[in-house]
Amino acid sequence: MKILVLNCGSSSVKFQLMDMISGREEDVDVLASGIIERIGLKDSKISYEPKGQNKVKKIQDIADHTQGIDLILQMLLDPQIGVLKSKHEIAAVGHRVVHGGETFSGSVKITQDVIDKMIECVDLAPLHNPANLKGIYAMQKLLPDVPQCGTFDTAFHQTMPDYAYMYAIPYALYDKYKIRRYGFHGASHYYVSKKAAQLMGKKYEEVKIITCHLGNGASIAAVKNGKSVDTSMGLTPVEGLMMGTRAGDLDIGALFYIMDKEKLDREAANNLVNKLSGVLGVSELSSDMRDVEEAAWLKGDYKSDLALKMYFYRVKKYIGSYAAAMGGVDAIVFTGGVGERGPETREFICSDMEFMGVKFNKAANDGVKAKLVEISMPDSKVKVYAIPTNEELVIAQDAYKLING
Amino acid sequence: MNILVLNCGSSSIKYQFLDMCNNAELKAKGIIERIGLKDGIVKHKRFDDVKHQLITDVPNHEVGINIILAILTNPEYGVIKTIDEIKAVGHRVAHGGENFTKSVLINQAVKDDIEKCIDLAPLHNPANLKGILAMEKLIPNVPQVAVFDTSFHQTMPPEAYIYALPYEYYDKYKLRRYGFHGTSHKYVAQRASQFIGKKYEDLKIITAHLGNGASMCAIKNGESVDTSMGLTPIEGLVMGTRSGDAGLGVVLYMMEKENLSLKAMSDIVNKKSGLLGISGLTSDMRDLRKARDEGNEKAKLAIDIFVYRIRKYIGSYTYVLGGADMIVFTGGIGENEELIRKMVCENLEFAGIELDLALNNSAKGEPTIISSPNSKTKVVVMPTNEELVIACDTNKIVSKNNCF
Repeated sequence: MKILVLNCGSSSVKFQLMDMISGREEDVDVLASGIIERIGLKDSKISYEPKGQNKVKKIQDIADHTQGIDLILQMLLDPQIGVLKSKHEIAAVGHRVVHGGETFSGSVKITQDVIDKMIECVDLAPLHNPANLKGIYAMQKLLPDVPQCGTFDTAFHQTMPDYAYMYAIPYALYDKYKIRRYGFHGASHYYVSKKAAQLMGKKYEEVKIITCHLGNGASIAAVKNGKSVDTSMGLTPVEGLMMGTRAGDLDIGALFYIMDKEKLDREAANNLVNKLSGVLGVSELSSDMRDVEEAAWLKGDYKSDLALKMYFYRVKKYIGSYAAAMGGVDAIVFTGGVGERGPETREFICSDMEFMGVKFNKAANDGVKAKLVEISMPDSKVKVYAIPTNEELVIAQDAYKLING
Repeated sequence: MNILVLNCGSSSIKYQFLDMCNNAELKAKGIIERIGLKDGIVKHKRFDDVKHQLITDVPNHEVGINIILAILTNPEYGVIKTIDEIKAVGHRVAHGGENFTKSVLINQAVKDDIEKCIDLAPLHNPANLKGILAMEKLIPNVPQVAVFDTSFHQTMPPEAYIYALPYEYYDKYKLRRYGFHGTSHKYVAQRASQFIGKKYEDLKIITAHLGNGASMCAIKNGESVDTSMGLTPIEGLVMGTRSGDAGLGVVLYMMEKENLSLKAMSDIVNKKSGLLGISGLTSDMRDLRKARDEGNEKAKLAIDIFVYRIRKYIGSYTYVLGGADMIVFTGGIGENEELIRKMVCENLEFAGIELDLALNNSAKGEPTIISSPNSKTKVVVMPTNEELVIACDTNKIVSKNNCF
């Protein structure tokens, strides 16, 4: 059974076509994957990689998501570079949807009712949800008979208890606008936490796991007995860890101070804390950890070094905080671009954690990039893993389950 | 040596009069409220419980301080014959910025530096300065000392105090985390170390100052390495009416939805949030607890959120310190609310924290060890006394004598 996974951003569409066979991870075959960027702009960039063949790149104007998705289908069906004979081979489409509000606590088959509810959540994710909807509409048009499913970034965190998701602001604002913490990266936290439980040979429902999804966007989750009980992103993704360009946790008073001193309106303030802060803001160099590491460690740049120390320090504080939230921790997992490809990052974060039962395995960690690896010592009470995430797989598996009943 | 301790707020002055030669005995204390408004309220209490109250217009801090001096020298309810018996004045100063890492004798340069920090504490520092200037005028030859709320935290490392904002804001405005309640964190950490018979400088300590304002501090070998309040006192724990940590996205979203100005938004997170905001009832923990016990859901939620935030900071600071030897509770709630202490420490055995429930239940406003004997991390209730710290620092600086 072939499932097409789509991740539609405001000006991009990422896709993977997966052959699910049994639905189990080990049987999944990725037939093709790719991305279209700069949708709606001149010279859109198209990248397409069919299994076992060379990557195809081209540049061509793509006016909107429908045209982009149409092109994806054409490529999948192309006699030379395609992997499908007929579009009827696509049994389902799985969409990544950013914000499911309080309505969605799991993946769903998309119906008109679901679409209506997704529209209600647009206010909470004004950049992402409309793009996700565009992808759904385009698919309805292009493949009207194929079932579509939605997997929400927020759904996994809907199990948080009220004392974790409520802000200490007037309660009326929750009633009125549903202002609360939602969290994101749900599919990733779910995937790697479940994987970690398997690796430990324990039941998912019986372990306490802290998952660190460290990419350009970054969040941490506390997963207790298979359920997310807390996560660092909130109503919006700006909360929590320090990220490539996002400030993460910051004194609200400091925000007011800057808005006042620099005469920033809300939009400018939003831009500041989302796009100009984080690793980029402190290092004054780059939002890319590799650049900053090079400047800090090879060139001795003070601000880059500080940015890294802050980044590590905050992850460490969250790990401690979630250990307390769960009353202990059995495993710590690193994933996301930085988590998977940053052995130094993992080592710095895990330093001085012996008192909590973490025995870090430096030899196993050194130089390991984008590979699943246990980086704690065999006798470490708390296990530490680097696990490449696979959000597309979660989306495809959920779609598989939904249409197979 | 007699020392007058002053804590000048924007519309109030609190004072204490202590005899440092006599084991820092508290001779008198009082408060003036509603300064600048009609019908100011003056309340004074002497060590022997003789009280004096009056209602009178107090147009400014200078008039207020004059009233305090008159009260202290009053033959009936005062404690000294003439103002010459005041040997030094200790002032609480809210914000010392990066300029002050400890208490100092006040001179012109110090006053200038306090003034430079006004931008960082626009409500408090001007009031503190008013008190200093009034004192200089009224008793010009008496030495004055400034004790800062922020100075204890100046030992934090940059990764703890720099915000993940463009670095230029630090250069330009000294925008960073400062922390507050420094005198309290230091005092209770020192006293609690003595109390358990250990050396303060050898310990890793987490202090929780839980009052109407609330903050926590991680102390390693006698130095603050992190604290929960930041540039302003809004950050960190849930407080009586302050939100503590809340996402920037939340604030910007609310401002947009409710069309709020900065001032209005600031008002919400400072004065209408926290325990009051969630419960919709009260900012007072005692009342809230009563409501919770009577089944009020939102009162329960407010307490749950309050406790959960403290637990998270304990975990966080435990990792920052590489394990904590002691946790100290202080402030009105920390000293008196056994339920909060119990909820905070529940299920933290993995971090070596184990309460003795009976000891915890009996601890109220008195120094008490409330952890069980085999708890790896000691848990201690220690009443704070910021005025005493101010008096001691003042005494030390003026007389070069150590106090405790």
